[in-house]
Amino acid sequence: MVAETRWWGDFTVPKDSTLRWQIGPTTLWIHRTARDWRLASLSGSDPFDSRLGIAEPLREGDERPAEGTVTRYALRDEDDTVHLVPAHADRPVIVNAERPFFLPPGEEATLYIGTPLWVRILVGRRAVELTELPLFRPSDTWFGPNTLSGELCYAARTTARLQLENLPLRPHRAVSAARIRNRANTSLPLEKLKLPVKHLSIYCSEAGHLWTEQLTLERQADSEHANVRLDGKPTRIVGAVTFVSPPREKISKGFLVETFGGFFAKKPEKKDERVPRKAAAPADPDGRADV
Amino acid sequence: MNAFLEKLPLPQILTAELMFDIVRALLTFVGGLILARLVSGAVGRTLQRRMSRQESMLVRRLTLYVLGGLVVASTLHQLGFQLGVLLGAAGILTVALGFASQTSASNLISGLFLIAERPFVVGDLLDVGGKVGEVLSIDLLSVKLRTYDNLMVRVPNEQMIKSTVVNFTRFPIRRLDLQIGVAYKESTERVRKLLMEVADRNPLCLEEPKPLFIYKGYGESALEIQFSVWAKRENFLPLRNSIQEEIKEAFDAHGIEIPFPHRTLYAGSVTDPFPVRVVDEARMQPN
Repeated sequence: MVAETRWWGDFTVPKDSTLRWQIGPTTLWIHRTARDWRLASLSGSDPFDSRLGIAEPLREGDERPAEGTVTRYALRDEDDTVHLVPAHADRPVIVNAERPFFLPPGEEATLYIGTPLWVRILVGRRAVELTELPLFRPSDTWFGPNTLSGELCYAARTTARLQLENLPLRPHRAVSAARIRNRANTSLPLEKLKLPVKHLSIYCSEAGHLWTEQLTLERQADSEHANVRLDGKPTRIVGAVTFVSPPREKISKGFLVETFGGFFAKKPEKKDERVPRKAAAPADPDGRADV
Repeated sequence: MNAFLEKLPLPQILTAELMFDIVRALLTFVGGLILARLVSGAVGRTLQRRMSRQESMLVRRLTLYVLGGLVVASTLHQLGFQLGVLLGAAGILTVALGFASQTSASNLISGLFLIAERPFVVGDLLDVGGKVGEVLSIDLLSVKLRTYDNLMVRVPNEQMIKSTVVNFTRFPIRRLDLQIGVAYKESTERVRKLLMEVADRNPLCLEEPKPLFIYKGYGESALEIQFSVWAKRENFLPLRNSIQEEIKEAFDAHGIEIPFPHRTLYAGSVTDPFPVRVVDEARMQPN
């Protein structure tokens, strides 16, 4: 079963032949000749596409890359191996909660979040990186108190779930378990979450799904900031895992005390607010305030 | 200066004392200039980490000029020149030069203000009086822009200070305002939903801040709508192209009409009706 879902790893591309991958919405063609590698990809528009095809030799009548979409890379190395490595996004990912909820003081909840993956394509004995591409290009978004200060992020198409069973596992996404603890004296309204995915590694479960290590986000007393701690391995419910790829950016000691401005989207002091802020706030004619 | 001139008469011109003075002055001059250069270089390097490139360059140059001036004054002093007289002459000269170089001085002062105020930095995209270009350099007298058609535009600093300058790249995200007209028969709610879907599908369009739908009013021939979407500033142009194309496609696919200007001609009750001539006479023939 594992072999069926592992679209990543090392593959042999025979000379003058094309292999085709279908990873969720993305179709990838890799062709090798004696002196060059040719890559082409086609991105679908359906983020919930779960199709999977792994290193299938291209036959007559199969879909081929469109003219002008093929990129060629000339290499001295005649080695026939291609390494596909899953990677996280290069920016944080913003995930909306399935339904906004409150976390009372002293409480703890675990959210399961699927984040979109990129694929790095490396070839040859020296593992020369040819390119990397998103398996589904997430939409850009802005995370910050206003349009002057903040951070560009990606918006996840999926929502964070409180139950893992509700989260569909797809080949082009990795799942993170984020444990959120509220150490403050006020309730924490949770509408959306910024996930620092570039610090996360990728693991593969026995079932062949991709996971990241578990995160613990701890809100300290009367603060909107959160301490982010990486637990070093995926949540226990995943079972045995194998390491797949390292994070884009390593953080020292695996412990991160981030003071992300507005890490939690809503201000905690509005305890009685039951309507999500965006819906309640009147539309600003200049569209500046509603971030 | 007199002391120096007294030493000039020929029989005494090559006395050991004079030779010593000249050599000492020469050494002061060369050594002083080298030292000034080294000190200003060190100052520039130290400040580079804390200041922008222009500011550190300015401080470095100022240090070099002040130290260089001191070296020259010291050299002249050692040669026996009386600096008071020289400075007096220089003062008169400065007044004369000041009148002559009014424009340059004004630009220079404006340049200092620009560097201190930092409304833009090298690489920013500006609109200065209708000229849009990327800032190549901010110098003491002028700012050099490179326009999109690859022309170099030199804007005097005085003009930069006086005129309105729009900096397109100061903030990381920008808003694109699309003016859209739809036919009066269309449901605005349907149009709003469709526009939001188009924005949602386009990955360059930011999810937050949310796209803005403004019902602007009843136009001559269309319901006027402003649809504002946000983009990362580097993606502004790609979004402008892609989203307009997608809106047109979505409107076409859902049968939403973008009307041409309509004109209903009415001759009024007191004037004669317009003469109407049927050009397709074949259709008028009875069967």
